Amino acid sequence: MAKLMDNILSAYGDYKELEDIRKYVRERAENFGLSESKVNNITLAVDEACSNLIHYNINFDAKKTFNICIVEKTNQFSVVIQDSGKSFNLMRVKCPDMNKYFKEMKHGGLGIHIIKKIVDKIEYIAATSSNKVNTLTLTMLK
Amino acid sequence: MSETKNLNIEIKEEDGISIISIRGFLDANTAPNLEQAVEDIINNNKYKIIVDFSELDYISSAGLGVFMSQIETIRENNGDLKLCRMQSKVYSVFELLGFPMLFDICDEIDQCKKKFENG
Repeated sequence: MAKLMDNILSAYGDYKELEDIRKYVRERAENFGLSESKVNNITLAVDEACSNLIHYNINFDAKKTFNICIVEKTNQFSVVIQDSGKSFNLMRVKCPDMNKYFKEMKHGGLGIHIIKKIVDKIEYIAATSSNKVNTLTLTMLK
Repeated sequence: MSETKNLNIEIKEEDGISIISIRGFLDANTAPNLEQAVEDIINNNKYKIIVDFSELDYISSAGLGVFMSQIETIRENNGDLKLCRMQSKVYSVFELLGFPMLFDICDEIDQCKKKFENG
């Protein structure tokens, strides 16, 4: 179960953690004063990012953890997600052509597309040999 | 009825149509349960399915994926998967990626039934 300590929510590599993550982000975004639709969007975007991270970066390893931290500035609300798994820069992923997607009845691979559509700003810093933490920051403007 | 901590699934039959009512949260954790429920219906050679979303509070792309993964098989067998009674916050996720192009999304169950009657 995800644990909150010193403004950092620490979660395990298990989809069961998604509900606690959403609750935390939603509550903080509401308290910050984002509009209802922006609260829904940042909550969804973080869910999608964490689902991807649990699957691809840490490969469902329930012993591994990743951290979620909220940074609030005057008019922007950021969720910083850090992990020490495989680096994966979602900004390099091409969004699908949805007409083609539907025509070919594809499924899966829409999470990143959703994040890119609903978040105001995305930043990604991949782990390096000196800093072994990947950092994804999703920001909503007020 | 199938229930996980966060998603409740109820299935009933009306007029030869399987109606799935879902309540709670449809995310990467719970989507496999709904996928299994839809597969079970299909495995019984039933291809007319309505999903009632009225008590669903949340959906992510994993939830959308459930419907995409089954629709081809269902339509190949002259059936359809029709969706209804979505809260606006759930509908907005479908709308975001253009899903209303592919699926009938109705306000009420009866409207879905009529669409089945009219072919």
